[in-house]
Amino acid sequence: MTYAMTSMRRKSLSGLAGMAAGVYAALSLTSAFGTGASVEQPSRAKTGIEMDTWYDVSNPKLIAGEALFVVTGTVEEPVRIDGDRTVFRVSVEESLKGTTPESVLVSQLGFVDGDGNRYELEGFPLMELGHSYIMALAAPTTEEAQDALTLLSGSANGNKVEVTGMDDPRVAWFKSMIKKAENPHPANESTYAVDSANADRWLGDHPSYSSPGLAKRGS
Amino acid sequence: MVGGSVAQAHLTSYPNSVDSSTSPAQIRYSTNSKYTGAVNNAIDRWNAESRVEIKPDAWNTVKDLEIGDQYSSDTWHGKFVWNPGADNITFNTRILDGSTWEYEHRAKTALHEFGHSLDFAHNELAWPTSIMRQGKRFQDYLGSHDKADDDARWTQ
Repeated sequence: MTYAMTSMRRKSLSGLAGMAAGVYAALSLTSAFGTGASVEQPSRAKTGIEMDTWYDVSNPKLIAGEALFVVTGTVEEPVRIDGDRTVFRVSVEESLKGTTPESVLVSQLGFVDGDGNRYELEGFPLMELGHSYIMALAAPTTEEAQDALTLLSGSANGNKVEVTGMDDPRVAWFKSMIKKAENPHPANESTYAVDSANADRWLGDHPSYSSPGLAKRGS
Repeated sequence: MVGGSVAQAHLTSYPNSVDSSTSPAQIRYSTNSKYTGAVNNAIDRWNAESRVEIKPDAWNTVKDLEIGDQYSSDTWHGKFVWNPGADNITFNTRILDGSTWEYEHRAKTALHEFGHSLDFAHNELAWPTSIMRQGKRFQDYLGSHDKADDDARWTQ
């Protein structure tokens, strides 16, 4: 885009899409000459996040294997925004994998900026205050908030399943998934070794937490 | 619809990174990612097929896209954030530096994330039809559906 004093960066939709902004419409771009293509023009959110995952994070066995901790907890308050993540204080009702203090910090991908724009993964909105969830958690890396566990994003099951209480049948179901947990990392995957080293380092710095650890995952 | 091929484009639900006020439409980017080969391959491949030009940001242009890396314990290996200003592509070095990740896997990730910048959403099409399917994939080129999507979306 060529700069001009009056120019503003425009993220408006072009052509027909622009006219259809805000309206969910299917436009047929069929030409009179017979070569056509249909383009669905969804309504447009201003901001958002999309991610590409390298394994099926909707598989609870894999997400339970990836997690250092799995807890059921209630969101008490938002604490801060770190980059594109929101840090929440969570009261832990029960540790399903590993053990944590009764109150932990959890960072979730997504945030709301000062203008009210919501940055959320589609289908995985930010957790709500006062609600309880099953949370699959990892140790943060040195490039992330060191005092907050990382909520594993994108799982349709183990990541952020809202529950109504500890007698919710999904808690028992997820416990059974933990017993069947599989390591999503191949045995020779160096990412696995890095994970182990990072998790071991983090656990060493946080003695009030313990976990079967990544080194024992999948065994 | 009379004859011809039909492409069903899978579009995101967000504004794309494309500046349509220029002719041709453009994405102006900056990058500090260490995955230079994968990023350059993605730019070259999309430029070869797309009606949109992907070009470096310059002193007299407004940036549409920023590319970088992060070492994250989260599940994503590539991430795209739609902002009111320049959008962001981020690669997860924890995953992409794994010993079983080769150049072609990183190239697929870069192609996929640039696809988001061009307005394309995830799909479940069979490999190698579309680069917009999620997952670890040995593929450093676009699929036939990606090219059709681009034609459908960006032909003015």
